Amino acid sequence: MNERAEWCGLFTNESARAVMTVHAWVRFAAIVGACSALILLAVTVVASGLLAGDYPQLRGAIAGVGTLYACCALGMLCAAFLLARYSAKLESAAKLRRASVLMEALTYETGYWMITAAYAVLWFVSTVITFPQAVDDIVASVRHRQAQISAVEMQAARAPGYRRRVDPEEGAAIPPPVAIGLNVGAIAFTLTGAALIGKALTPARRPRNSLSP
Amino acid sequence: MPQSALPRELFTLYRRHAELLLVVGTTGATFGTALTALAVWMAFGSPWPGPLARLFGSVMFFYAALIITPSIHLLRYRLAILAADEAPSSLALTDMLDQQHRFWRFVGWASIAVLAILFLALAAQLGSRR
Repeated sequence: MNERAEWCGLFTNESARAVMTVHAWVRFAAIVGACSALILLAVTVVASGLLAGDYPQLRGAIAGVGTLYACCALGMLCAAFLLARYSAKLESAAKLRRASVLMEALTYETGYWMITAAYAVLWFVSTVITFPQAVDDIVASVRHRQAQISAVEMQAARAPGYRRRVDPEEGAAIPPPVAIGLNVGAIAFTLTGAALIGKALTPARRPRNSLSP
Repeated sequence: MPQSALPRELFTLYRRHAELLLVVGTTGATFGTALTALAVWMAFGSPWPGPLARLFGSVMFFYAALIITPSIHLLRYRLAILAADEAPSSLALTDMLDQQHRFWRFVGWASIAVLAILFLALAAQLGSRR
């Protein structure tokens, strides 16, 4: 039994159409990923060179961080290449309607997801490690700003004819139109985020007669 | 046309993806959930003024949604693979491709939106310098 007869039930019109749409988006993602990786690589090289010139005593640390970013960019380039190959194979599979070509495409997809999984785990671990320090930095900067405001208020209070301003933490220092705009913006962002998550959770609609070739 | 039984080699290849998709999807969903908790704190527990804190919190929640949504698509793609492994058919393959399509379509549109915002910010920056 030749390949065509054995796999004749696989590529219906609908699945071939689905493969073509997936191929288009994957190719777009590959292009964006490759451009981002090249920009990251260029920025890393230029910034490392400039910083090493300005801070010669920190050359070792700058080289280390620069190498890290360069490796990240090269990993992104590899992932983009795998995506591009995957996209090309998907297109061939849909045009030729051969599942053996789809199987070749899946090997590229596996490679891409391996790189993505490694990046995801590294990114998550690094965030967990740096998160407590980041929270401390945010709280410290807010307290520093509050102390600055208090110092300015105390200094102004010594001036004759001083009138105490409303405490900014109460929110009344923000003009009403600005406050309305901020609240509208907050509602818009929240609803958009909720809509995205809701759409992801709803099942995809299938057209009628979806099994027709 | 009757549904023919598909060779299992195809779904063996797809099963390799299932473990990797679980890692990526779970990591993204966990990170997105943590960001959502941070967004709630920023909106209601932070020391900033009320409307400003709510805006910061909502932007953080939107960012969390941009991470949670593709993670959900990946986990559903994985479920489609496992379902196809139970009962291979061209309909099962189409379901897997649909889920994959939803993921890549979201990534594509999110990339377009991010690039548009970056270009606008760059244009605003260049315009303000002149």
